Amino acid sequence: MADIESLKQALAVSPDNVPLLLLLGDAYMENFHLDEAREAYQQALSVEPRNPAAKTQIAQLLELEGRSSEAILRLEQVCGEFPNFAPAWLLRAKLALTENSGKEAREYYERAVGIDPSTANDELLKRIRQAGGRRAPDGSRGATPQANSDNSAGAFYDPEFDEEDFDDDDPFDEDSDVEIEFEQGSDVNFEKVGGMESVKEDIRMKILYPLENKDLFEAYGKKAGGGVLLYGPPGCGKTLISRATAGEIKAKFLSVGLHQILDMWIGKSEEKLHEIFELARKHAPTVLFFDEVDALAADRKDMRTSAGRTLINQFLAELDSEASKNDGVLVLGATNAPWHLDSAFLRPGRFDRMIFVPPPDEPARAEIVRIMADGKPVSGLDPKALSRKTKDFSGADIKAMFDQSVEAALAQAMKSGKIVPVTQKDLVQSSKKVKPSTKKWFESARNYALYANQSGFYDEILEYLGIQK
Amino acid sequence: MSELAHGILLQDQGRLEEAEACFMGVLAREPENDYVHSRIALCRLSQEGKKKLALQSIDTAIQLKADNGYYHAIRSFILSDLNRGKDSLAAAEKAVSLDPEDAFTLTSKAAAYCSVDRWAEAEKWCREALAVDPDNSMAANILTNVLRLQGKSAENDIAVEKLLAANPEDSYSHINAGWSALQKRDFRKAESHFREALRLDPESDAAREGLLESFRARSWFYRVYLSYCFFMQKFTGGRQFLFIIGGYVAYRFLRGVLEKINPLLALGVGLLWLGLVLWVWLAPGIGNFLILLDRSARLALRPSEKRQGIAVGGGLLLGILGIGTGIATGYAPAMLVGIGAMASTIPASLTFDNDSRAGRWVFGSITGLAYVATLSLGILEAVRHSEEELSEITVGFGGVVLLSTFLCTWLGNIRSLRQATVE
Repeated sequence: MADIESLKQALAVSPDNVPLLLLLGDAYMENFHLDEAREAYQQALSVEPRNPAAKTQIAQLLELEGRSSEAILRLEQVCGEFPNFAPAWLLRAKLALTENSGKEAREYYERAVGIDPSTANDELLKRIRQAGGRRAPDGSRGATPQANSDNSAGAFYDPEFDEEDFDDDDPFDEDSDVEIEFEQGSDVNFEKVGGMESVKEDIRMKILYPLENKDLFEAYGKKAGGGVLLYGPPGCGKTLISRATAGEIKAKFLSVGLHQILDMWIGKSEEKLHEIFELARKHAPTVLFFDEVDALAADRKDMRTSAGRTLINQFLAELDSEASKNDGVLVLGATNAPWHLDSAFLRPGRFDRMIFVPPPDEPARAEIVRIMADGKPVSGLDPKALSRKTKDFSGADIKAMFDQSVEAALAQAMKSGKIVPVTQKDLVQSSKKVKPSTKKWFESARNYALYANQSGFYDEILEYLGIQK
Repeated sequence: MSELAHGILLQDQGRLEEAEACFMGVLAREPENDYVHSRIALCRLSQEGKKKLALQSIDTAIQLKADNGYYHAIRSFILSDLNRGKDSLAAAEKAVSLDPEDAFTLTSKAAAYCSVDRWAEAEKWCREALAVDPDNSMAANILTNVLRLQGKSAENDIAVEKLLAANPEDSYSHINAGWSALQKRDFRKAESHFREALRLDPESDAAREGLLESFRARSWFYRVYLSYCFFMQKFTGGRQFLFIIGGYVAYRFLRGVLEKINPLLALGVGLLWLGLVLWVWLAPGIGNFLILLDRSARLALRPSEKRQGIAVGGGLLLGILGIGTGIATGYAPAMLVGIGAMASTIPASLTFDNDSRAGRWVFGSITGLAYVATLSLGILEAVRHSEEELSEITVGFGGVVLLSTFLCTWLGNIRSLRQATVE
């Protein structure tokens, strides 16, 4: 309610401010004061009769009142008038879902995400899929087919691959439980990842060069591909660097989250895991990326139920699959807690290469600052200076710094009814309030590196911390 | 594996914050799931600053299912960690009354007795728990510990052997074995057990503390101190204090008697008592100082322990140097600085590695005062060195500071100035 009061105060000063009216409407809606919300949106429309946001919100109000058909009609109108207004498409997707039209819901959802990727909503997508909404074969999401002009990536280069044959061979039939989709050749590569040069070099040495010189490796009895484990503090770009790795080797990128595998029914998780590996093998060259791999590959000593152990055995079996079967499948695992992995996963042929992803270095932090500032009213931004002030910050910490500054500026803006820019000084002030979250991780990591480093797995951590044993 | 199972896995891995978040996710869907509340309580119990929240969670679980002995047993463990020994005992009794044949509830009673330093009763309830479940590692570990604390060496040896045979990959078993070895002054064996405990669980603070003790025990000087600590552990908190008071009264009496017979002997007893007091208070700091000299061992020290080692060890060295120079040359300012540096080690030993915030303030202020007095009075006396006697300021201010540093040996016995407030 405090928000509503401050918005009303701001509106008293600037009664025709459409963004404020919309914010007030949203605040009323959050509190289920539907009549007041409608009044605020109507007022916004009286100032700006074509405003798509106000029209969309009124459609949502109608839907909440149970007048779905009317809401759909209004949305059709908005989408026709403003085809690039993502929230209207998203709401259309939701309404189509309530009408049990999964296919349409998927189409609208893809339109929304295609226009504005930030509208992506995993939960909604999951429900759409459950309602039968599979991806449309026309690639409406706007995915870019990968360039096939470079065959430097050895087994991972597929000259025959194009988006058409991938889509024609849709792996997701109606019976499949695996809610997972390929990214058509990652659009991120090392060039687009600021800083992190040492990690990139490590990846080149441990992943890219072996793939480029596959024959040379084989001549020495070594195998390219296989599994690589990325570990480091949370929020420091393990997922991004994995995506960029896929971009470098021009392979399809398949990101697997825990929720896509774990299932409460006995045997189901193992089945899903197998399906994912089969999918990756079928569409090789592929980078199969497992986030939070420590949960899937947990130390069996830590498990009290046999159900968890069978999933681990299945994972080991998939990794151990005959060499030819996993040819062209690079398995990347990311974890914050490599010490909780079952030691069996670290044996040759499995996750036998480990890459430490430290907190972003100064150039990487400057790049993150630039990205965070993009689209925000920031004045006098000096990314380099900020990167120096944010030592040990993870990407998530830098985001927290921005959030704090933006919230403070927004509060002032609401009071004055004018846009108040976020200044460099505000950001520096916020950086002092945010404590780097990586420190806690390094406290644990230090202990493991000091006392449980018999195989030298964590030497990189000791080096990073400047500890000489 | 559902979200609940994932939470349990994270909890088993010791990733308690993440596990708690997972359980909270389950709770959002099933707010009346008593089992999840009990899991959250267990997660919070082992996290710093969340013990009171843990109590709230287990109370909610009990409200939802009041006749569950397991929940009352968890409640007992939490109360014990909150230093509420009597309440912990009452909760354990309730747990045992509801589930008299369960090893966990019986062990909770043993742990509750431990929290009030009643080792014999704790031993009895450990044995009860082990009679029900001979493989219960928690009961076996507590039993080993209480046997050691009671000085039952032979029984302790057997218990340690059994423990290690049954749980060779259990960090806690190695910690217990390490302490048993330390009590028998076998610091090398202790060190290897603590190292093994740390290898199995690198985040175990108990194992790290044990390893540090075994490092400190490399010097005979610290081993004697450890023997004193093991001796004192046999008594409850109140009895320990009575023992110290009794010792002081006996010392005063002896000194009074000797003063009438031979004043020189009385002075010797006085100095001996002073040395004893200083040794008890300074031993941990000196131990840390000695560890600092070992390149590999010092990695196990926390920053606060390093600071304590530097303040105490450095203060003592400066003190010896100053007093030595003063005696050899008759140069009073050097003597003054030596005495000041030496005196500062008492509050310093209680400042840097003190879990109590109030304690850090009290002893820290006295340490700071001692440093300021030593420096300023040293300079003052150096400037006016031509005078034969110390200035009034030096005698007055220096005397007050010296007294306050010795007062620390009494203040240090106040529990609230040494232990953190449990939250």
